[in-house]
Amino acid sequence: MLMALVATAMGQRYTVSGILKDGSNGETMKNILVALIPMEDKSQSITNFSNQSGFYSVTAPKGQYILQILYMGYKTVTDTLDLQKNTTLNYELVPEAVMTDEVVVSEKAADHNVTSAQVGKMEMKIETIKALPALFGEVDVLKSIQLLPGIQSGGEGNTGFYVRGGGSDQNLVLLDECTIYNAGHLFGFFSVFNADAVKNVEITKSGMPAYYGGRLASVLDVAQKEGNMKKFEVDGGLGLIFSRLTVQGPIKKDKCSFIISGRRTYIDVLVQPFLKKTSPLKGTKFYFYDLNAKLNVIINDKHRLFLGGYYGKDVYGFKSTTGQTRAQFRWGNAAASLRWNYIITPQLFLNTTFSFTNYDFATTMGLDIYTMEMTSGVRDIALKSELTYTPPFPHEFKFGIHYIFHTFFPNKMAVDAGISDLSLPNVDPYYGHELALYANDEFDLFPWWKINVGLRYSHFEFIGPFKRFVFDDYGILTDSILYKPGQIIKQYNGLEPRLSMRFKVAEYTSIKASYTLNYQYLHQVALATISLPTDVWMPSTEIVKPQIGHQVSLGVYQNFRKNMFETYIDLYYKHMNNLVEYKDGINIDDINQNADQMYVFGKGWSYGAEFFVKKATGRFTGFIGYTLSFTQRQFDDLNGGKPFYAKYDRRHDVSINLSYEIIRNKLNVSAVWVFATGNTMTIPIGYYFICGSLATEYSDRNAYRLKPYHRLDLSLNWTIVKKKRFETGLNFSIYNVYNRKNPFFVFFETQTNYVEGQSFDMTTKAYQMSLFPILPSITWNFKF
Amino acid sequence: MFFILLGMIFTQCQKEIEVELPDYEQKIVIEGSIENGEPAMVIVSRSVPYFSTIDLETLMNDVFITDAEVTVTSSTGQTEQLTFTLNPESPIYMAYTGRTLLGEPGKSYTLTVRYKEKEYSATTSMQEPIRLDSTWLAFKDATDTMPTSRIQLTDRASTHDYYMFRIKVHGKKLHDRLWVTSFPVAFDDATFNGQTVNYEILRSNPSSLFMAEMTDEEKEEYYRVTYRKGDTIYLKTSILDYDAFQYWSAMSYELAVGQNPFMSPATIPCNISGENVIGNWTAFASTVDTMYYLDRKGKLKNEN
Repeated sequence: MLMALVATAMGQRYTVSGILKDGSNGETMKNILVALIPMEDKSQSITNFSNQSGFYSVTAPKGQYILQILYMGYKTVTDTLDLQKNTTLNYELVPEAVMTDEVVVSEKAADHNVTSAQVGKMEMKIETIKALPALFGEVDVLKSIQLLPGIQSGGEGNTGFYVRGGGSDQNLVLLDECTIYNAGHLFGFFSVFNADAVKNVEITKSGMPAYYGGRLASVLDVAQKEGNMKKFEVDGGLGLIFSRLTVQGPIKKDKCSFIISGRRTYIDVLVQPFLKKTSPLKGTKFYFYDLNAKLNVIINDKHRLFLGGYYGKDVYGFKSTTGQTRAQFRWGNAAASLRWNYIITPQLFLNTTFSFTNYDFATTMGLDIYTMEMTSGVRDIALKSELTYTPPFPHEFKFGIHYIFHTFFPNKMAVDAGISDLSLPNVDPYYGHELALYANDEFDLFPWWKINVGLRYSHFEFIGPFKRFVFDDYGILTDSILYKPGQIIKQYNGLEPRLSMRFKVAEYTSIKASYTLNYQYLHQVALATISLPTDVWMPSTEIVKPQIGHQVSLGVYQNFRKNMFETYIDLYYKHMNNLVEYKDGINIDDINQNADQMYVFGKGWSYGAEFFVKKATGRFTGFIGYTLSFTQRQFDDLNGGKPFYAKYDRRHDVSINLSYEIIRNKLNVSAVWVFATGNTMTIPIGYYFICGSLATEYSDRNAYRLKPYHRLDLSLNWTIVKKKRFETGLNFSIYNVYNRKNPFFVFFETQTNYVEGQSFDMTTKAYQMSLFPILPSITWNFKF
Repeated sequence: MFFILLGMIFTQCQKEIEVELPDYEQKIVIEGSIENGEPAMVIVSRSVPYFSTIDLETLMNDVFITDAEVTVTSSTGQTEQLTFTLNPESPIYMAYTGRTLLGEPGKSYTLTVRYKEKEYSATTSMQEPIRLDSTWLAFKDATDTMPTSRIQLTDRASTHDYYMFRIKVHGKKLHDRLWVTSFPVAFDDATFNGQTVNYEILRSNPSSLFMAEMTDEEKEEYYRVTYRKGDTIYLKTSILDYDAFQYWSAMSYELAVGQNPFMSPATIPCNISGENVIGNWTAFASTVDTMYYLDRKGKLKNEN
């Protein structure tokens, strides 16, 4: 290998670099293949992909080349290039006159899935997502991603998603490089990502490169649009649940642009006049809204700034007609990032992001004069800087530093109970520094052997001010330790090697393998058996050790019929240490304990096989994904130390998405069918009399399985007008076509009949609660 | 809590289902207590599969065990074999009761139950009871007519004390004769060792077994947290040992949230040794305070 490096370094080599943009709106385009084909030997080519800022850089020996940029849906760029010095060439790709992007799935070179070294990275184009049928006709980025193999939805009404046996806290969700701690709206029925403001979506479930970290299971990377650089554009939609409006345009043409996008639900407003005075829904507040904004400034050829923000809030309130019982839940995310791109030289690209993110949750509950408020949240301030170096030999190096200052607000309670005022002590926030340094290299060792190798060093400090309660063996508080502000209470660090490799065994076939080790210094412990917005985030402390995950995966990727069909089979095994759960039967309101003293620790493992077939081109497109997996946990203090299946252990998970274009660019139908093995559950198996009441005896943990989840959705997209200046269309959707009563939860009711001194009998029945029946909907979309 | 909201919207989507239970092995349930100045009382029963229907006949034949050999021995060597009695005060309660061996603070008591050639045993120790400084009815404001109860106590500095409270409102119905656990059920002096503190003690968690025959008004009355004019209220303060405290804390959690489909069930500790057994043997060191709610003007009589 060294020989090869020396040999290539000796000849004179130059770099061609530049920015790729969409000619119609000036948005930068990532993951686009740029190829240099030598004039003298057209069977060879030197290639590279554009990065998230649209920047590409290809280095080749000096000479005559054909530069080619191939991208589906856009006119192919072919240019001749005489490479005698470092050259900058920016391109604006022109969309083809016949737009096909509503059907076409791929925003990448057609054989990207076979050629790239990345094993577990999947992308979904926003147009694909928009064509899928959806609940209430409102497409959702997060729900669509969950159709891919290995990525499980927790079911309706669950905020979290689950990747390859990991917990919902093990997914890093990024919106323009800001961490989003709760990506759900309306208890998880929608995500915080507004499809109108999103440019692209990527999820990495294995072979995580060194530039990502801090979570064990996956990275969901969502990039917002940058705003049209060419002309003003308004698009929006009117649906049953919410309305959307996006405005974008140039502030200064080709120099500076903005985008503002908003959504708000109005079902509460619509429903109120139709409710009887006595209806339990009278007096409910039920809405969410969000706002995305971004400003994009091209300072000059070398510097570029992006300022982006997100703000969203959910409010659900209930007041009984008498006003006696009140309950309200509010939560919201706020995120802002400032990104600076600096093209230092054609080979050196610097991307620096300063970001802020805040998540807070509040519950207020009232009965008569009693009012109780519980609040919790997380706040991060982060700085990430990454240098990409494309040296004159075929490597791509990335070096980076990532620092986050975390503030965690655990559950804080305030109680107002009229005269009996319960004054509770303040619960201190938890503070932590998280730092990561990394280096990553991607290169072709041989044309058939591509390697992506990296090393990440992560460091975490749990710091004061903090008050630690000390208990003796009987659980009696004996002392408390006070730590000063900034004092290091506990620190951890870890070296995280990452390796993924691609072996190209035939023109359309490759084998990919990866190994990753990840550390995670944050924990979200679910109190209930589903993931809720109330679930509190906690840092690693001297009691809670960082979560550590190892994953190996091996896959075969094969394309057929000139990349018309993409297929893969991927096998994985994952082992996780230091997982956290609540102790059985704890009282979370106990203010005389630190939250982490209510936890127990254990390990988990998961293995499985994923199968995927996709037809990417033609009028008939779609994919079929199937996952077979086994996920277990073992905690010494739970289930008597015996291993148990995780809540979301899912033996079979199937999703089928088919789409057919009936009239080109006019009428398109699509269908989605999902099937998932039922979630596990701990159920009562017996009961007994104790202290005059009935007490319940339970099965082993998660020993029971709910009925399987399956559902068919259909949608019809009808583009009524599609002109250059004006576009309008209707979307008809039917959710849960055959009205399957999917289990949301199961509960039990005991009925007793008792007449003093005469008779007594008692029976218990099980009931299943389901959420959504068949739901047709219509949405009107427009763009001008 | 979210699901109250969701539940309201989606109640039509509820249906009865069959749940196939794994094979179930019945357990022996022992619930025993001894109180200062009182003889021991022990209930021996079996747990039953969750979906079985139970009537009086099955209760008598399958649930309650009437032919066990139940013995209590004190740390000073006294022994008494308890006799099985049907307690007319409470037809569901079929208990083994003692006569001569009465609970005394400072002693420990060992319970032995022999049934079908199996032996189950447990030991509990009786703490020193504590007398509350005072109890009173607490009104929210000048117009309030439905008070709650509050207590003031001075904790002993020399010991770790585990408190448990039970409340009984005097009445004619059978359920009026049962002690009801309070809210909070039990707490320890970890935060107030040796200090004088006051707490609101709410009537809570009455047995759901009696509900079926009640009218809505009666139910409201039965589940009330506050008191009505004319009520005679008994408040029992007991000091427990550590094991018993753990048990009662967990049990009260189970009785309160046990049926919530979103909560992981509690593991209830058991201080009884033996095969396939659940339950507890507790020595309560108790004192009882009585409050009469005569009228609003604070004519509240308070007797110890």
